[in-house]
Formats: sequence, structure tokens, C-alpha cells
Amino acid sequence: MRILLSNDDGYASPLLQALAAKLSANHETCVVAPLSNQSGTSSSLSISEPTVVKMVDGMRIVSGTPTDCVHLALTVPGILPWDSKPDLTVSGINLGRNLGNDALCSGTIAAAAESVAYGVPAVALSLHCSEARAQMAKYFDDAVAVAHELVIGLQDRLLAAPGTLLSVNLPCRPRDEIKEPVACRLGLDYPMRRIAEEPAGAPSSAHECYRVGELKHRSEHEAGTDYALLAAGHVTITPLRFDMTHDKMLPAVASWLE
Amino acid sequence: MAAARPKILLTNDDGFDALGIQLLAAQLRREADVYVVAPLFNRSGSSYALSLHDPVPVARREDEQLAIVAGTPADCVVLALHRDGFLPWRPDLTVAGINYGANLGYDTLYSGTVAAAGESVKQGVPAIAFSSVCVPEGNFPPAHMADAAQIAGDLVMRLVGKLRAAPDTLLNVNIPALPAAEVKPPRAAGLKKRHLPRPHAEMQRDDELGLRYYRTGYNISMATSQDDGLDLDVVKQGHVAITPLRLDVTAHEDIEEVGGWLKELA
Repeated sequence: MRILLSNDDGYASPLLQALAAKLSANHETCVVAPLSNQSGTSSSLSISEPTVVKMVDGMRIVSGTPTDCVHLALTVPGILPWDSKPDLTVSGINLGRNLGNDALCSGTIAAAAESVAYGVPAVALSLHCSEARAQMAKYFDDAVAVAHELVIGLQDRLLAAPGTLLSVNLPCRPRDEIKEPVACRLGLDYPMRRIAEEPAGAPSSAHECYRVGELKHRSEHEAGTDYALLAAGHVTITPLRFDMTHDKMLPAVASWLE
Repeated sequence: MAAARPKILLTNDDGFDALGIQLLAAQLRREADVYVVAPLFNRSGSSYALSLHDPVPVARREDEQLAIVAGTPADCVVLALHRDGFLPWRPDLTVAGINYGANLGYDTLYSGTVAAAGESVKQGVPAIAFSSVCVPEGNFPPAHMADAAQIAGDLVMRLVGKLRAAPDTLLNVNIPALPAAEVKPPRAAGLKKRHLPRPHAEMQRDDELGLRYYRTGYNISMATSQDDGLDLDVVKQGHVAITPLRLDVTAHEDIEEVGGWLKELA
């Protein structure tokens, strides 16, 4: 297979590099990833400023967002080293989970969505670190091994269904404690975000200044959601579709306009 | 007794001083209480991005009911709806726009205008995103923005009751940039499915350093439209196109099949 790899944590992420190294043993790979950490950039596309691409052996470093990376790779000839489209795009492994409420905000998922929009199936991979990252790093090799097996195991299915976008979340645990993968839906309960005042960031005392923080997640999650299954130790896999038309509401809206 | 004036949070992605939001604010204030929370600069294409890595300064102009946010459109709505006391009241409705340029088909995903509206619906405040579409294509920036503001203002007042009763409603509205008398009635339409190509320019190339510079174009091409009743088609015919959007991107219909794939692995 020809595999395009990207992420939103930046090209230097050890999780991206380890997964790329493992996949490149048996496949042609090219990493096209952001220069800097782009977490939370969603499907941002750099249309107001130019994007710089640095061409390196087996890698392209992009001064933009994850969406820029995949968009340029799939639409501008000569960015990828191949004369045809890649067979598959793999985004991640992201340091941190990307579940339900974060699905629209995640750059990791956005990179995968951009790929599917251009006809290349994609898998977004995210790793849930429940404790301080320093304590979790010892399980990274296990996560990379599980992610690699999953991508290779699903390759025939993905290549046969190029409209497929899978968002995968992995628990960060020793391999023998990771439970089997489960297909499930996003949990969407839209909690509030932490917003703290941060006066030090204000340009003058006449300004207000805030820090937009993480979601204040509820402690209980509905059974069957990605939140509940990941917390129970499973690998969660959610098929996504970024055609946002709310088909069921179309007749109601039409009636409002009569 | 006269109905209370609606309370409206108004935002955009072109920046607080863009003509589209200024004209729309003036139009809406005839019949509604409006508080504007909008980005300092043009943040077109920022989707649902949040400034999670930087502090977000805000300049307040209380006499104008205006907060200028040095962040993204989603930051604006998150501050307004997640921070107690940021607004003087909880809004009945969030309005985003009027955006300079179309937000049709798959482009709605990249749009900061549509994302600001979506961020509002997550918190139970229904929302409408407005964009002005150049007709014919290439005639940028769109003309007749005052006409578009009048059409948008009328639509808001016409729909606000329906939206209050259905607070999970997110509407994406595209208005052809024509004189108001030439704009045809609004039609409900789905998003165009096919992903249209975006123009790119290679601005510079330095092969010795391995550096290439690209500019990604603003607007999708409208030339490939078909007579399919989807948003691009409807707006090209001169109608206002209105699309309800959903925020749950789960492909519910595919969960069972993917579950089957996973069984094969076991």
C-alpha cells in the first residue's frame, strides 16, 4: 500500500514517527505533517496566508494545519513522491483522546476527513492518556503495535470502501490489558468549557483576557458511547461522515418557508 | 401585549469591522436586541478551531454592545455562551455573518461562520449562518451587501419563533449577491455532495532548500453545478438556499458493518 501519514501534534511527534517506521517496513509511506502543534485546529484551512512545504526524504513538513497537509498532498501534484493517489491516509497517533464532543474540533480527525473528501479512505488514531504523560510513555510501543495491527487488519475493507472514515481511540495500557475493538457511536452531551480569566495576557488593563480551556466532562457517560467503551478499556472505532446536511430536518425547514 | 424583542448574539469570521456584519447588526437592531461578539481580524477558514494554546484578549465597547475578540469565531461563541456574565443576557438566537463569499457544499466544514453557529447550537441556542454568494462567480467581493442584510434580517424575524421552539436547529443560509428585487424566495436544499476542486497557486519554489510556497484559493468553482436541487444549484438560480445542518458526524448507518469487519479480525 501507499500510505499518507499526518497528524496534528506536529511532525516530530514520537507516536507519529513510531507508527510511520512500523508501517514503512512493508508499505510505501510519506509523512505530510505540520511543523508545530496544531491541536484543536479543527478543519482550518489556510486561505488567508501562504503555506510553506519543506520537502525532506520521506517527509513533508508544512507550516499550516492538518487539513492543509492532506489538502495539499492530495490536490497539488509533486507533493507526494508517487504518481498516483495514496491508497490510505493514517492520521496520528494523537497524544490524547478524540471522543464525541471533540470530534469536530480535532485536527487529527480533520486530517482524516479531508482525505476522505478527496476519495482516499482514512483512519484517525488517538491515544487516551488517563494519567500524566510521563507515566504513560512506557505504553506507547504497545499502542503503536495495536494501531498498526488494526490498520493492516482493516486494509482490504478500507481500500474497498474509499468513503470510509474511521476514528479510533486506544487506551494507554499494557497490551494484555487492552480490550478488543468495538464499533460505536460518538457520545455527544456538549459539556461547558473551562474559561478562566488570564489578566497577564491582556495588552492593557482596559482589556479583558481569557483562557479557553478543556471541556468539563461529566463523570457518567451513556452506555454504548465511545466515552463509556474507552473507559472500560476497549479500543473504540467510530465510522464518521462529514456530509453535514441534516436530511431529516429538510422537510420541516421547507414547511417553515411556506 | 407586543412580543418581547428577540435577544441575538451576532458574530462572523471576517472580523468585527467587515461590512457584512455591520450592515446586518444595523438591520437586526431595528427589531431585536443585538450583542456583537466578533473576531478582531479576518479568520475565514478557521472551522471549529479554538485558541487552546494562547490567552484570548477581548476589547469591550459597551456603548456599542460590542466585544472584539483576538481569537477565532468559535472562541467568540464559546466565550459568549460558556462564560457567565460575558453577555448581558442569554440569547434566543445566534446569527453569524453575513460572510463575504459562499459557504456551500463541503465548504461549510471549513467555514468559521458556520462553525460559530454550530458552536452555539451545542449550547442549546439555535443559530443561523448567513453568506453572500457572488453571482456570477468571480465577482468578488459580493455586491449588494445592504440588500443581503435586509433579506437576512427579514428571515431572522420570520424564523425566530420556529427556532426558539427547536433549539437544536442549525441553519446555513446562502444569499445570492443580487439586488433584493431580483432575489428569489428561499428554498430548503441539501449540501452539494461532490467535493469541488479548490484553486492553488505555487507562489515560489526553492529546490536547493527544498521549500515550496503555496496559496490555497478562497472560493470553490461554481462552474460544475448541475440541476440537482442542492444548495449550489438553488443559489445559482437566484434563490436563497437554506440548509439544516447536523453536528453529530457519527455515520450511524455504518456502525454495524464496521462491527462486522472487527469480528473478522478476532
